[in-house]
Amino acid sequence: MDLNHIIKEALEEHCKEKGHSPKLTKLLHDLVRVYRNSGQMADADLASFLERIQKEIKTTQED
Amino acid sequence: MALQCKIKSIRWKWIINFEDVKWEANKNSSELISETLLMRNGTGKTSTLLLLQHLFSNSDVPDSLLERIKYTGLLGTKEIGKKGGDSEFSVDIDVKGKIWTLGYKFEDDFSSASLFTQTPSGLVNEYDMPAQFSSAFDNNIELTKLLFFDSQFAGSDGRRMNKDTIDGTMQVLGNVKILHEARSALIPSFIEAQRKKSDKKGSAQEKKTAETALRRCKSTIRDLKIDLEKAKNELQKKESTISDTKAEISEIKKKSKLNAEFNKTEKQLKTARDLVSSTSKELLELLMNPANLNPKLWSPVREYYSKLSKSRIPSAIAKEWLGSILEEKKCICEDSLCPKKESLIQAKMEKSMGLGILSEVYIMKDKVQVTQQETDPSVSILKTRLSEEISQRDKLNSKLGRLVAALGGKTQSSLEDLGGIKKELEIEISSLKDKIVMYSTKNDGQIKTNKKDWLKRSMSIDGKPATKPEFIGECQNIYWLEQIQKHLNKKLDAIAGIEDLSAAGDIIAETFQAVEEAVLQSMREAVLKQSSKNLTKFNMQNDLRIHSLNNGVTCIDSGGNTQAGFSTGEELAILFSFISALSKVTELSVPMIVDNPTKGADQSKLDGIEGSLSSFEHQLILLIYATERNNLPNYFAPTHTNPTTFMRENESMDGTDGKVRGMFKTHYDWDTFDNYHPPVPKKPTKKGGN
Repeated sequence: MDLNHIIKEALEEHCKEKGHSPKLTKLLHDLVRVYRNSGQMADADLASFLERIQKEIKTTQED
Repeated sequence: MALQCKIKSIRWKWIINFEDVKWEANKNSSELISETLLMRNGTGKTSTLLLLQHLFSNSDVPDSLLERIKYTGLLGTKEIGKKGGDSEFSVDIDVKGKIWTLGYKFEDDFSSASLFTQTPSGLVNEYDMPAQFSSAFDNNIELTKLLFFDSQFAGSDGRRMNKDTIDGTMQVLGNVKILHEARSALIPSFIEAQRKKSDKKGSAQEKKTAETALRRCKSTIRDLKIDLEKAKNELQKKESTISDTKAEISEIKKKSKLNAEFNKTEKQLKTARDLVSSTSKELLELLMNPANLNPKLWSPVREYYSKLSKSRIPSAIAKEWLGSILEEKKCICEDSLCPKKESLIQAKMEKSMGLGILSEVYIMKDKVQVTQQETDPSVSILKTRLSEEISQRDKLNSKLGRLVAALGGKTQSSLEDLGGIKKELEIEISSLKDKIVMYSTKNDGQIKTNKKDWLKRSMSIDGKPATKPEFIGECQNIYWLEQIQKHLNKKLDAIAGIEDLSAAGDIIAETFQAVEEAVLQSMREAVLKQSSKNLTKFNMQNDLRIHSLNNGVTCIDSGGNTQAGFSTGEELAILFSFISALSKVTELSVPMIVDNPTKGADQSKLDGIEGSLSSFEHQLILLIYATERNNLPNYFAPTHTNPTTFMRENESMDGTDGKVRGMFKTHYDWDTFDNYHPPVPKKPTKKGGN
């Protein structure tokens, strides 16, 4: 059972449905990967992800 | 993942009844994968099982378990003056050919336990198992509870294989539990910390009110979680007591002169009960059809949907259209709006409903109009059938009562007393189950149906979450409290001016949830397919098969009826099939331990249990007491299992202790296993229960 493939497909489908940009989709994919691989995330890394996500939402809204 | 592991040995040092004893696997035959450990009642089988559940999953040992495993052996009876060493419990585990020891060291007073791992390269004072092992077991007590299985609770209602357990197990094995934790705890607490740091936008009073409500919400969730745990523990105790009571009743009946008559009547009663339950189900389905409503109720339904569809305007249209009139302050007849007209339009807008709801109303209206009000004749036929079946069931119940009365004397009074206890326990169990559902259900429909009793004022009349602390404190459902908590968090995020951060957190939460669901769904499908294939190896009554894993394990019989409870044999077969399937899908080979595999099972079930045990393909360890040996004579044989008998030194084969009792020792020969007959205590000990 190829879970990585299942996760990639599910994430892309969800992001497409929600109208997220490819950049935001990639960010979310990276976030899932980090959590699954290391089982945790430092506050600073999470803050950085959240900041990049906020920035990407704003950019998309401005476009 | 590809994890292959086997238990090589277990060592008890100065805990429960054991001084220092080690059991080793495959002492009789290295070919067999099954091991049977025979211990007399109350020695510590169930305690061992519980310790293994916690040890493998790296879970904290609860106080109740620490209390249970306190050393009481020779020291408890003052046969020795003091313990001969530190109290420890450890297991040697073979992981892909290398031995790792996982164990607990206990404080002298058993106030706490500290975990250690003896890795191939040295001792570590924490859980430090190889990655494949940790990713399957660490923080996965759901899995260890399935694998290390106390069958005295089997067959109650299949609760062991419920949604939380099955989903929790798969979440860990699919490595998505961390996503669940991130979205439900880690990210929200990070956002909460940012909120506390930020410059607030809203008023201090607004913030204070919302924070007080949030605190109340959190404390209510905490309290309900404690109550839920208490109710679950209480239920487990009551179920154990009722299982003992039933066994006692069945034993008395077996020994009585009316045994054959009891058997016959009980069989008939079971058939009668099954008929009542299946007819009730059919009748309920028919009554759910609106066309079968009572004629008095039918006309108002028709009228209601017609009115509803005519007099309401979709809210989107209402807002756009009526809103522009209000804005221009001019009606479509070109007259200016007076305050009265303005408030009427405003009221109309407020009354309007969403498009989604409106379209439902139209669909419902059409359905109601085309459906003829004509009660299905089968309703009355079914009603008559049901009352006949109920009366037959009641007659058989009375017959059983008469049989008990016919026994007379002590036997009659014992059975009557036990019957009374059983009835009381059944009521208590049913009330505990209701309580557990009230605290823990996430089913929206169920929560709203019981809104008045469960949510009280924590849900407003229009279905919104309460914000007053005293209203929140009235809530008895954890899921609704979590919705209130989310609502209050959003409010506080807005006050703190961190809406963008909060929105980013929501996007992550939604995405993680979608990923978790996709993984769960794929695993459910693969495991279901494999489990169904495995279950065909077992001789299931009524062609019982696994139907779905969406809500835990659900089974249906050949007639398509969902089966809620399982017998011990059925539950073992289903569990073995499920574990084997899960092992195959996730490439795991892990041991299973079954405590008291035949407790309370009658002959018809024993054949099923024997079949289930023989068909399991991974390491299987059975913990039994002496009388269970007679229940599965074909299985407890050199072709199937390795025997181990736990006896004290100087103990004779009839269980009589010598003048000086010695320590527990393990015997690996068939002669001791077959001929050891310790006395059977009348009632299980309070502590052991095994």
